[in-house]
Amino acid sequence: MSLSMLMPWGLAVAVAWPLLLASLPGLFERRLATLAWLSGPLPALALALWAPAMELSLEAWLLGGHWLLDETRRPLLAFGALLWALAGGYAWGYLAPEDPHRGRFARLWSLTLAGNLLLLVAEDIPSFYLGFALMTFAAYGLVLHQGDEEARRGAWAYLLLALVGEGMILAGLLWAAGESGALTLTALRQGIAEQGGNAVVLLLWLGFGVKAGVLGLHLWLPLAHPVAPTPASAVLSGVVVKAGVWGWWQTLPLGLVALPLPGSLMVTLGLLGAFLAALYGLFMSQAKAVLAYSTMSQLGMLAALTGAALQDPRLWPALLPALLLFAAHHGLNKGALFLGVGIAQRPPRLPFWLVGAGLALPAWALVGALASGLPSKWMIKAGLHEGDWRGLALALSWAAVGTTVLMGRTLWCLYHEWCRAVDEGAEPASRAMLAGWLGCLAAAALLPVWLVLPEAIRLPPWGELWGLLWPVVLGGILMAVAIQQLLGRHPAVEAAVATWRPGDLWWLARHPLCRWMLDLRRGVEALHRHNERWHEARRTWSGRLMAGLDGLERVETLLRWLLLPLILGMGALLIWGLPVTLPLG
Amino acid sequence: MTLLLLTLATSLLAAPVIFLLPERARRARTTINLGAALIKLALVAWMVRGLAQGMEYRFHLPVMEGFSVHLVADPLGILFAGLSSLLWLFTTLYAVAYLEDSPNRRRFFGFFSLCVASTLGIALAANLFTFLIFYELLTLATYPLVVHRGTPAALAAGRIYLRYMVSAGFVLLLGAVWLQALAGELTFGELRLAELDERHHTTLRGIFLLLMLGLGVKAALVPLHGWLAQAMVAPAPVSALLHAVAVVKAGAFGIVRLVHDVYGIAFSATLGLLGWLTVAASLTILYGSLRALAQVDLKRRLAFSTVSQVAYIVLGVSLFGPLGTLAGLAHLLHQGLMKVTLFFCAGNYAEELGIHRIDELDGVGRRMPLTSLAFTLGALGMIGLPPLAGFISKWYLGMGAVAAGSPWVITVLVASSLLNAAYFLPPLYRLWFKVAADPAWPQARHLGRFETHAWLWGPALAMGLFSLLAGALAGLPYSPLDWAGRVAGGEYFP
Repeated sequence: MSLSMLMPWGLAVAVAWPLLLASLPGLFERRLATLAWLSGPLPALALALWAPAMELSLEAWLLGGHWLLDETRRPLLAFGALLWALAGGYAWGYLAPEDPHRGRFARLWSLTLAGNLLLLVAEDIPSFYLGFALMTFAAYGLVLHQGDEEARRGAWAYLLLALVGEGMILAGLLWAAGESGALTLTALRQGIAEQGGNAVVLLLWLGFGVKAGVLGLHLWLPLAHPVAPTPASAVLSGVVVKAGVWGWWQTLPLGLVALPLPGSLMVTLGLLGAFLAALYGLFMSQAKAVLAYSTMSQLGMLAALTGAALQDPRLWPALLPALLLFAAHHGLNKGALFLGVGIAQRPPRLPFWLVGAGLALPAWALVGALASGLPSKWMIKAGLHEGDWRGLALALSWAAVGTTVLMGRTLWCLYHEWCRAVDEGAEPASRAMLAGWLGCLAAAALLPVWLVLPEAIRLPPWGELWGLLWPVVLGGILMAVAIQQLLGRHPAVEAAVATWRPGDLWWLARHPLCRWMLDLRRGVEALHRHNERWHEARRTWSGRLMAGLDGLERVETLLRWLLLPLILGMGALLIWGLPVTLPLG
Repeated sequence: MTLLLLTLATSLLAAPVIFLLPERARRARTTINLGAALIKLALVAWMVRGLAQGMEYRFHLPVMEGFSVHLVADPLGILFAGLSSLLWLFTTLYAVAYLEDSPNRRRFFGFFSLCVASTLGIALAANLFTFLIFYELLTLATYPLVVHRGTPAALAAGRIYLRYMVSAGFVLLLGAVWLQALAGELTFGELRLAELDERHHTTLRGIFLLLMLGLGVKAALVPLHGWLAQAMVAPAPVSALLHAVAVVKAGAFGIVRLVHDVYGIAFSATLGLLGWLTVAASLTILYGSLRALAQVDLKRRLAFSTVSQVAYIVLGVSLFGPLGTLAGLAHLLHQGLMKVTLFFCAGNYAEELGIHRIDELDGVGRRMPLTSLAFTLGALGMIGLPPLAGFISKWYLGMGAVAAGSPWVITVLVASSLLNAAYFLPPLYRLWFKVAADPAWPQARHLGRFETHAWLWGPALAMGLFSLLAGALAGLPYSPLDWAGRVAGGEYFP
């Protein structure tokens, strides 16, 4: 067997390796086990960076496994595995040695990672769904890790919405696959394109939309992110939510058929989410909550772009590479920002300006003014202009103003957390944390250099720079004006706003939801009682029936008395009757 | 032919031998039990191989005009026989450890063998008459197992059990006799009913209803399921056997036979019976899940889960088309594997720690990791998550529903999945994420060197792994899915 035939098994190794590591004993306790644990995403990273395109068929697996590494999957696999690796190193330094649940965290971390990698390489529907479900349910334990009341609430919100999402995804996949008889995602997309079922598309959009933070289904994002351990927040925001977007790209008939209704709904809700999240996020006082809303805002932009391609299939070929770059760009920069929160809370013994620049660098990139931000923005804009979608391009530029303001707010929060940490004399960040954070910064900053996209990354020409940068400038001006004119002048408004908590609609929906749950429980109990009563009634009636039947005993006693004359009569009949009736002698 | 009788004889002959052995001859009893189970498994495996090569196994003994004892090993029967002999082996292993030092083991294992013998008879029966004999024998053989403990609660449950079963048997007999009067002796798979005159169709519908009522009691279709939750007082291995392979499955298997081999799926569709069956199965699925949600006793929750899960089989059978049939048959096997795992685990918790209620499960995952791992596998499979066996069933049920033109069934499937998640995830949360209270458990003991006796956790884990492999490696030849596909394929494309 030659090497080229063995190569595709690399995909299986990449997915199985973290699964294997999850079962190692003594994670985070024994040095060797922990070092092995750190290597979880490395096979996948190596494949994404250096291996040729490949395809693996597994006849025996589920309903026939079919795993791929192609030009769309490669950039996502590359940035995803890299972020997992860096955040893993960070987690090693982040979790305190006296944390009783470190082992559990490490195991669930590897399981989440395995699910994430599987859903990226899977081409057959069952494997894809398996990866998605594994990632979803394992990440529940990551959110829950701290175990206090807020963590339990965040995890509960996460699980509740995830289950709703899983249900919709399952329904959509079953329906679409049943209609077309598809077993692979490509066939599924084609099947949907041929039958053009809006209902299936809506189910899939909303089902994956739970992960991708569609407005209304986003409630878990701001509740779960602040409570999860920082490295877990980084991967949640960096790659896990991207799985939802990847779900859209893999199941919706993008570039195949025009679906105006779901497309326009997606654009509308996406843009609405992008703006409202930026607005609400401004009033958060924790850096992680602000970042969670920023993630939701960015996901709204991705949703709007995907929706545009759903509405207008001509856009897709030009948009796909841009969106892949955007996903990687947001993933790594947001990851670096989240990891930076932990650094700001435990200031290292380095000059403030150096760390401050490091914290600010991904923020600058995210608003689109530096590094990977510029080319991804430019490629999206160019794609939209080619397809004559100037309105959407303008709307996205305005959303970028929101991002700028949010990033300013994030840095402000980070500065405050830094000052508080210095006052309290917090223990400085460990070397592993620093390494993870700096690695993430470097990977994010150099993204356009190393990421392999289906088409070459284009840098904007000089003449277009103003068109890309005005939102940043406008955002900066708005911030300066707001700080000068508004801050401290309206204490009543500020006090009201200070009570806003991460989770927005959750707090509104909680009371009706609780009441509803109570009603449901009461209903089930009533059913139970009703059943009991029915049993009771049946027992009584069957008892009565039996008593009635037993009553026949008395009749039988009478019958016994009747027996005597009967026998006597028979005897008489025999003695007297027989000779008469029978012709004897 | 001898192979067929030999297979039946292994457990049928083991029973009297066990009855004759003295109570204290523990070693001999266990040897006979396990030996018979192993031999039977080997014989069934042999027949599976032969069947795949096109051999025929048949035994025909005319009793009188129009009645004959007729056994056959067709793909459908061998599917059920394979399940029952595999689970018999593991349940026997489990029961030996579970009933250690308890009285009346002679009686228990004797009837246990009889129960399996009748299940095998049901699987191999080739006509309604033979089927009925073994079906009634099953009722009689399981009664002593249900009341084994002899407590007032057990005796009361036994009474209810017997009342349900005997009336069901009577209704079934009535239907079978009527059918025989109408169409003569019916060998399974002959499908002569479709040739009857059209004026008999209403009568045939009536007979179908009678037979369904008779079979539905054992299959625990709502509203005929009342006995199932009561019968939970039985010892854990009995519950496992009752829910996974013997009684409930016998009913479901009977429904499969009725629809496919007595009426024929096409003729059932012509008579308009399938739609009603789909609705009845869907209602049972949802009702069972809702009731399970309200139970605090672990075994009772599992019992209502069975009500819901067995209806999946009926649902699959009622969906016209090869995919629906495939799903129903695959679930016949999958549900058996998963449910037996869950009951073994519930029994382990009760034996080792005295846990019966779900709120006592806090932190047990650390104390009994292997059992809890098996429980997790079973529970996730029930929810229908890949790569466990339950996902495969659910997938094909969905495909079958769309193919049969009733995509609304997908709503039922998704709702049932969510309800399953709602009543299986809380125990899992308690197992793995909560910390044990102090004092931890009602009656903690140390039965074995590891978490409990090896013969208790061993079968549980093995069955859990089987249900994982049945899903993850569904594409392998001779996997449950593959065999169900052969049966369904033969049904539609002979």
